[in-house]
Amino acid sequence: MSPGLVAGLIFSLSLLLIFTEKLNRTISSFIGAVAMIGFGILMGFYSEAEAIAAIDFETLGLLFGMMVLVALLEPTGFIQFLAVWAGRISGGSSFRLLVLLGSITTVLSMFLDNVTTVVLIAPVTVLISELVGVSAVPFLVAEAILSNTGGTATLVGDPPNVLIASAANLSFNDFLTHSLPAIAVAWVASLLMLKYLYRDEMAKKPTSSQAVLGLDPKQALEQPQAARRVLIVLLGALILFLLQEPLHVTPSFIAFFAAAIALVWVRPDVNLTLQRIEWSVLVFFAALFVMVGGLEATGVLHQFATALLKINGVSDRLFGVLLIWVVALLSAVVDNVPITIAIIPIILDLGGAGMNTAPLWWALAFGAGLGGNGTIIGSTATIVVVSLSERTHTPITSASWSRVGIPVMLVTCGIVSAIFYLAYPLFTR
Amino acid sequence: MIIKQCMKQEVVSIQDEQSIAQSAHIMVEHHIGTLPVTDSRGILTGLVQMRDLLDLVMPDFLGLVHDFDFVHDFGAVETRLPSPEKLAKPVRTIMHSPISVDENCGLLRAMAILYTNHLLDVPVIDQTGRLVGIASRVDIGVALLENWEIAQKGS
Repeated sequence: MSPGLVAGLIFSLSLLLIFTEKLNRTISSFIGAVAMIGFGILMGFYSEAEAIAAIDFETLGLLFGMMVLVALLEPTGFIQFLAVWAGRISGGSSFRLLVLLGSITTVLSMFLDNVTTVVLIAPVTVLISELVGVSAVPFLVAEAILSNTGGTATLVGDPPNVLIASAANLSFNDFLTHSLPAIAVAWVASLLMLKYLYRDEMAKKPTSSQAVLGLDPKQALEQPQAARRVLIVLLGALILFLLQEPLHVTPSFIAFFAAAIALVWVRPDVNLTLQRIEWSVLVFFAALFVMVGGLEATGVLHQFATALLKINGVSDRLFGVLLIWVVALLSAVVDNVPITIAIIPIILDLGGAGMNTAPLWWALAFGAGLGGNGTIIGSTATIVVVSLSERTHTPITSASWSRVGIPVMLVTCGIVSAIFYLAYPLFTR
Repeated sequence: MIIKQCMKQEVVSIQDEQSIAQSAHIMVEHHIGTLPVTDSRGILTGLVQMRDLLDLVMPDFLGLVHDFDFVHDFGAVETRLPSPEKLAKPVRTIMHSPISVDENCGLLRAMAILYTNHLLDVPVIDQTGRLVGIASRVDIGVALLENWEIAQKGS
């Protein structure tokens, strides 16, 4: 067997294990990485040193720094405070609640980890729904969808963007000028679709809408001082992200810097803070980098890129649109992180062969960010919301997810494809 | 002292094929919080606590948020009722495995079983597994405290 075939098999098997959920995704990728190094050494296509060099520490550093900030914000109750406040000012109106909770989730997801955002907002959502006497399902589904959508808008919003930014040397501002406008349109469309698809639920009059007046947001804020400090640091980090280019610093350095300031200012129990870091995510990423590094070392990805270049008759513009859809469909069935990590070297190869790949990075970001909404297993935020709803009397089923998730995914991918196609020159730089 | 001496000998119980609604009715009628479940031969097969019934209407969010100080009004949940379909189901669908003590069990051991299993009352069985009595925390606790007084007077 050729090295390319072996490496391809190892990667596919790991993806299959992740897809079938036979094994935890971190464990699946971990054994895949070990197998890749093992076979690499045996067959001489990959060494330990190359495996370590394949790990993108820029990505891991940015994720880690942001995780520290989130870990500090989490126990303060600030995110619950926002959700409770939204419940109170909604006056018990279902649609107003949907817009408020959806917007809060989106804005938080643009700067913080999507999963943490929904993990903290979803329980309060169930609470508010129960108090006013409506089903929590539309709100929970909206939060997952809008969290994924919001995350696609910024560099730090979701892991695929972090990966893309690191590989393509894109700055925080690049995302604000290229991704944010298209995603903003897709976001409005998602919200309108949610309103339409849940029109029956939204029309239902809550049985006791006045109960929201008995909510006290201030009491939900457990550590106001720590919350204020972490928010100030987050704001500072945001300003630094905006000034990233003139300052000549990497996003991961900014995240580390902010995390260091916040740790000094808040002085938390550091063991508790570190426990909140999602180590499994970091290991998952590192393992995927090692695996894809092996795949790259065998040259299969290069062959794949060369084959892609030989396709005639497809304009660059159309090629980008196709990439959006291929990545979106793949992201709907498998985790979007391994997909992104595997496609990055292919795009780099295409660039090496002389193709202008600048638009392809955005196509990859759009597909990876919006594709996950299509299925109940498409994104971690969705999986979290669904497993939480399983602990209530009205669980979200695969059918009830698909009724909303599939149309939203198709329409939002359609919208960004149209924007990408029509405004193609803007994405080329 | 052993549990046989302080237990209630008249036990209100329910058979496992009777409905959840009937179990609620019996609790109301007898003003009790624990209902031992038996099969047709009188063998203890399970336990229904008032909490198991009330869990049917307790809000879902209690298991999701770690405190609810900020909620001053339970709103729609306050008047929630279990569905008729749920109430018609046999009591064995919500009962717990039977925790019980032998009629010769010591009092402190019986109390410890109540504590560790978060029970309010413990059914008492004979050697054949037949339900012969029930003892509440107060029944056992009072008997234990009585012993203190007897011991003090004796010294």
